[in-house]
Amino acid sequence: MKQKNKVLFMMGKYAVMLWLMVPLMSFAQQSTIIRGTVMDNSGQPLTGVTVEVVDSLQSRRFQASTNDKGIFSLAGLTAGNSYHIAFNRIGYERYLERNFLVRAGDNNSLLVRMSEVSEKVEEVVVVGYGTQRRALVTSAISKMNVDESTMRPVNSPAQLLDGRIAGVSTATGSGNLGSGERVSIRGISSLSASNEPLYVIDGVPITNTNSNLYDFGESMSSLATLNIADIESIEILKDAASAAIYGSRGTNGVVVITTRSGKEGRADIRLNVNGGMTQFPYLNKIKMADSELYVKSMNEGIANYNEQYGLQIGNSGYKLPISNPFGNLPDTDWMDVITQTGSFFTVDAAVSGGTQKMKNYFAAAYTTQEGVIKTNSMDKINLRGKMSYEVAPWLEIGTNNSANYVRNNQIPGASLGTTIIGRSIQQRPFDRPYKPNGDYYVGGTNELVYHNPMQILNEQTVYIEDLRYLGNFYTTLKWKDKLSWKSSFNADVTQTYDHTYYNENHPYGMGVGRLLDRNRLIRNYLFENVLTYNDKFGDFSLNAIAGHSFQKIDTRTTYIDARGFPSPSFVVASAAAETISSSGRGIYTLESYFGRATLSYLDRYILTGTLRTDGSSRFHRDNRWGWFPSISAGWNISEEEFMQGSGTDLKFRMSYGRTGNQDGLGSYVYQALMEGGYNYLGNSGIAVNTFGNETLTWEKAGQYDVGFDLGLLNGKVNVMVDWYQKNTTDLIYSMPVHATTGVTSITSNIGSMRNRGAEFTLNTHFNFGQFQWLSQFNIATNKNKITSLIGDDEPISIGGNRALQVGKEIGAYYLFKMEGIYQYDGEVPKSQYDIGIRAGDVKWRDLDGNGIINDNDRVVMGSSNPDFSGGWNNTFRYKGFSLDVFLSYVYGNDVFAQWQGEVARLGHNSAIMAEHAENRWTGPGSTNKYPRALNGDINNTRNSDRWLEDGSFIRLRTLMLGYNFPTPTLHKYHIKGLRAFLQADNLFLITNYPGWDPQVSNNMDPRFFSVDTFNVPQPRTFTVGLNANF
Amino acid sequence: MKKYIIAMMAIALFGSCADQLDQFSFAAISPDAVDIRDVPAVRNGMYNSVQNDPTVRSFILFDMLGGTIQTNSGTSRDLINATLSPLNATVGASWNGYFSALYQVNNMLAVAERFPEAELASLSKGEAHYFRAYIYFCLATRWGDVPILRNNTLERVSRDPIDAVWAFIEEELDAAATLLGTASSYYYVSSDAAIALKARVLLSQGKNQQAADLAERLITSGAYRLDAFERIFRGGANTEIIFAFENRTEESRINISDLFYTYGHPNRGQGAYKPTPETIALFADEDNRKAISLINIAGTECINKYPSGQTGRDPFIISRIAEMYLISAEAKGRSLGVERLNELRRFRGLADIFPASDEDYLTAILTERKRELLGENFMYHDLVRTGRAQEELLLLDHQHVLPIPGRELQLNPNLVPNPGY
Repeated sequence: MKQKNKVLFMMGKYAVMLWLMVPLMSFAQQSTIIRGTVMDNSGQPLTGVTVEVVDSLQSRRFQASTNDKGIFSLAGLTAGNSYHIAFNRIGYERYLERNFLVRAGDNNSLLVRMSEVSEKVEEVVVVGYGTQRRALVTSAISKMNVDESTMRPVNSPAQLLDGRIAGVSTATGSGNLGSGERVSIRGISSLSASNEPLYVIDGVPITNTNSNLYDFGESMSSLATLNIADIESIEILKDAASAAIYGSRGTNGVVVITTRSGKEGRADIRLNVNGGMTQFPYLNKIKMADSELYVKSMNEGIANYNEQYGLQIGNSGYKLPISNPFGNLPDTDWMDVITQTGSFFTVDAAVSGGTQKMKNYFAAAYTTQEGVIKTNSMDKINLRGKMSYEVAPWLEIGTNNSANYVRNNQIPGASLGTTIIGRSIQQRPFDRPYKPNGDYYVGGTNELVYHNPMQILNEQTVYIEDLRYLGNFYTTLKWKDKLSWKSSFNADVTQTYDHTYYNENHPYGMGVGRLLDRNRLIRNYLFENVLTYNDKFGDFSLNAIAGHSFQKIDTRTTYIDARGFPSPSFVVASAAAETISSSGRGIYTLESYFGRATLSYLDRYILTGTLRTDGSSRFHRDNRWGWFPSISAGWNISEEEFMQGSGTDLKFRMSYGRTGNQDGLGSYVYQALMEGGYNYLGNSGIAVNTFGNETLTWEKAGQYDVGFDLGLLNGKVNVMVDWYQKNTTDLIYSMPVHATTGVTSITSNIGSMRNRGAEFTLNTHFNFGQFQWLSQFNIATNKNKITSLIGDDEPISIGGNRALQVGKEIGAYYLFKMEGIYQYDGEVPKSQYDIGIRAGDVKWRDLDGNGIINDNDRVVMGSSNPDFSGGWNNTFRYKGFSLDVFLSYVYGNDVFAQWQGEVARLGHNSAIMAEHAENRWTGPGSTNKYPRALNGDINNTRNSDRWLEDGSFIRLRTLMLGYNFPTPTLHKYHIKGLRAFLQADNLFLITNYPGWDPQVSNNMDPRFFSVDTFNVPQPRTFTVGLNANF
Repeated sequence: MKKYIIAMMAIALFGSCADQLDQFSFAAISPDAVDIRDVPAVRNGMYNSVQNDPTVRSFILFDMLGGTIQTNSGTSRDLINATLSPLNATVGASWNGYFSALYQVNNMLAVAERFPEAELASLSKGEAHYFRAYIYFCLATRWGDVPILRNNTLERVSRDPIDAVWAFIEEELDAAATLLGTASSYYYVSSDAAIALKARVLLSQGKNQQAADLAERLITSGAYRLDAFERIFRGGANTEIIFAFENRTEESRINISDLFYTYGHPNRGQGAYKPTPETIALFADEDNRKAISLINIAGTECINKYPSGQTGRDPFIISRIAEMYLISAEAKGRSLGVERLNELRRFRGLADIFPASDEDYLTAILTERKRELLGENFMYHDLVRTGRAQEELLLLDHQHVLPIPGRELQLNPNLVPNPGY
């Protein structure tokens, strides 16, 4: 209906214009003619320029356009009058001839030169299913050009965005190579469904699933397979008006990645070479107690225990003091044992070129990296071939193919039992990895508390191999530059092989060797037809698309668990004594219809409407289809007559749209399932494992956005400001249910939440003679609030340290609150005294006042969401030199430093932080912050605000010095351009956070985000490189 | 208008897209689609669920709470205090797991009712009644009053009094014993298994005479004889076991051995729990259970009843004949029962004893149970039911039952928490 109305509306407009032209003609005979020529700056005639005169006295308008020689003639003007004559052409600055006096006769002539609009205004933005001039964009879209200045040595394009764009925040799981990332656009909009944006690469919505098939302690990025050097720009569709064209997948925003292409009339050869080293930053920041202090506090803890329970030597349960078994041997520097200086080397080359009919781009890249933890390394190869061919003026065919290979030799992540830092820094200071005869000390026994980290690293062979094809083939039929029909077949096919081999000497090798051999093939096919229509009706221009797409994602897995190998040289399952295997398959399909129309009047008033409907196989027939409309309007105030020549650009935008979300759900989530695999005694069995929910449907979000773009001083200063509010309803949530039902959760549409925020971006560009200064500053704030949930307002405990509560943020913590230290036994309530709490132990807030400390006493506090965050980049250029200083910052977020709880257990037989040991409670009045040492303590290291830390930081993200060799010199060697650079990434970090890096997390789900369990920090990187163009 | 054109074009291009939006699992069927041929599969699913759902620590919880084992860093008392909290993961997982298993059992009964003529329908029903009794025995001995669910329900149920729960358990076991006969292997439930469990249930309630009668019935039936630990706990053919879960490696998530062995053992284990010094001291050198009960791994004494470590899984015994000896000995009282106790002791390589008082006799019985049934999930309940828990484990009053998990209380306001937690 809506579409139909729009068409009728446009037809109406057209009719009105025809009717307007009638009087124009009738006045033509009785007046004077102006003739003239319009040329561009190089003196070439310009065709198709609209010449317009408004006679305000008689409210008449005269219009003409230039022919192919650039000549126009405008009739009907009254001799003796003065007129403003306006010249308009898309792609050129509007030209206004003021007060042109028309004389009688036909010797009125004009010569006009029009200049091309400067690059900023001409900027083309990639929107869903097409591109748009920036001037016509009425929604909140941010663009990042990926060039020499914004390039960083990272694995995934998502990490490039860190601090670059207002409202887009990123984080990585850890500093390990290929670690998974989180990209959050305008806050959090979902509970159980995905909170990651949709990634669209050259028009293909890709699959973005964890690359780890065997959970190796952290999620791995599937985007790390891509070649960053191939990327030309990244557009972020932030508001619903821009993202609604992606309908049911648009709620979390859309990241549109465009790769480089051949340019018409050019032949380029690009060669980039760089290499460098990486470092574990601030390695010695966390200070651990040495053997002497450790033994002292341990024995104090043991003495306290014996005293408390009245135990004497010889009594049952009496604990004996410990001593350093290695006497005076020096302590082990456990962090030094596992870390190394990493290195990397990258080379990438591209050949591109084009004629009017054919354009192509071929690129290849190779990267090899070693991480900051021993044995962590990664190799990557990327190939791309892109070609388009205009067979006839009405027919173009093309293809874009990329083949990618990654091999990532992994080390255990922070949530695995062999978590590498946890298994090092938490070892007692006197313990050591190797016996004098070279054997390992074995962890989990009296000789070593935790798994030996060197045994973990040396006796495992763990890698992921990803082979990924991403590409498309398309045909475009064109009719007169107005109408085109593009039909394309797109594919994103990833084969992942996850090899986890523990040989017989590894703690998890079962003494016989174990291989977890896992394969996954994801075939993501998309068949798409898009009609594009561009036309002008007088002062109105119309750009419309309509399309259909069908996407099918078919996943197959094969898992083999093989045990018992003759020796570590046997690494395939067929050599194993015993194998357990399983395989799986799942299909998910999505069918969509979509359309968009943008109508603009002289680029002044712009109206855009989009509509998409999606049908998803994840929902029951009756609830399958969702409708996602949006409308947005823009007003280019600077296009108004009164703003002409002011050097100011001003656009006001507002939009509303609805988007959906369904990612992150199981393929058959609505169905009640009686699943196989519940076998007994080798006989196949089935059991109900989910109740399903046929009423399950889309999460829906409605988002308002109001913003303006302001350019001052002829583009030297640009400001972009946006306010938004996003309301998500029908949140998909695995709603906890009472276990007496037989299950613990049911996936349901329940609750709603709101995100409100503002974004501000300031770009400046100043030239002081040879010296240039460019800067980009951005800041964004977002406030998340759960507005309704299961039905009551009590906090719902999730995970170990979080809660969901109406009125609070997603990501709020649910922790015990410390109220100091009991100084005297008499202060301890009886019920706590009975279970062994004494003076020197932590006093927790007893919320319900019943004397017992249990989960009801936890308090919802803090949040992992920042108050504001952003980045600030400054580029200075002088002659051939350029200096980039890029800072990123986050303020007001809380990080749960769970690791602290592990190293604050005084009297426990694992390493402790010096801070806690030195400042421990030793008697009344000694401290109100650090508890006493006690062996067997169950009170003092609860998940509490003791470990909740301010995660605010300012990071010197990159510092880069570049030098462009002078072109005349290079021409002698047939080199178009040559640049050398030095770059330091993550050079310093200013923060109060006591750990290494507040921007890593062991969980990327926003509900559980910002928990640090000794995650490897982002490395500090030094790069030397050359960029050459031939 | 445009929409219709697009739709027509799309239909012309590929008419069958809409069908593609109906996708169904490759590994599951709809519960409504279960038919008569599926009854045996549902039965296997029930066995698998009752074996796995309660999670591993549920199978040694009464050892964790019974003072016989401790963690590496704390005493058995510390372990008890840490476990008995509404927040404790083991307590929560046990509660969830037993009710999850109960769901499958009730579903089995419903399916068997629907297809009474199906192959194995009556057998499956008998087994389901046994499992329901077993689950409720576990629930009652942990939490006391628990809701009795004869059918699956989404309601927010209330707790039924413990007496009603005991009556329900007995009723279920009687139903099971009637429907069941002998089983093809002791990894399946038999009528003897129902009798053995009933003997235990009766003893728990202090119905000593009936308990002794049932225990004697099995001892004297000739079907079971005491056997060596080397065969019972090392997968050999034996005459002891009445019913056990097989816990095949590929079918089971219950890895008890992993919690007891350390990484110093060739089969590897995380070594979460080890026997207390008092437990170790219980085993005299002549006790032929010692080598299978305990093993010294790199200087640490570990429980040795489950040998697979991380290389596999081991069966978990629910009932064996030695327990019947101990039930009979305890239930018959000092003068009549001491012979059964000594019979067992002699078989295990120990000398006869003749305790002087009833109090000493009960101590002797409980000590023998600690030796015989170490790591088999008995001790906490034994001490609670005999009134010895306060004295021996230094339990506080409220610690004689487990806390209802905090999560469950939050989600179901009709559940009354156990006092003191």
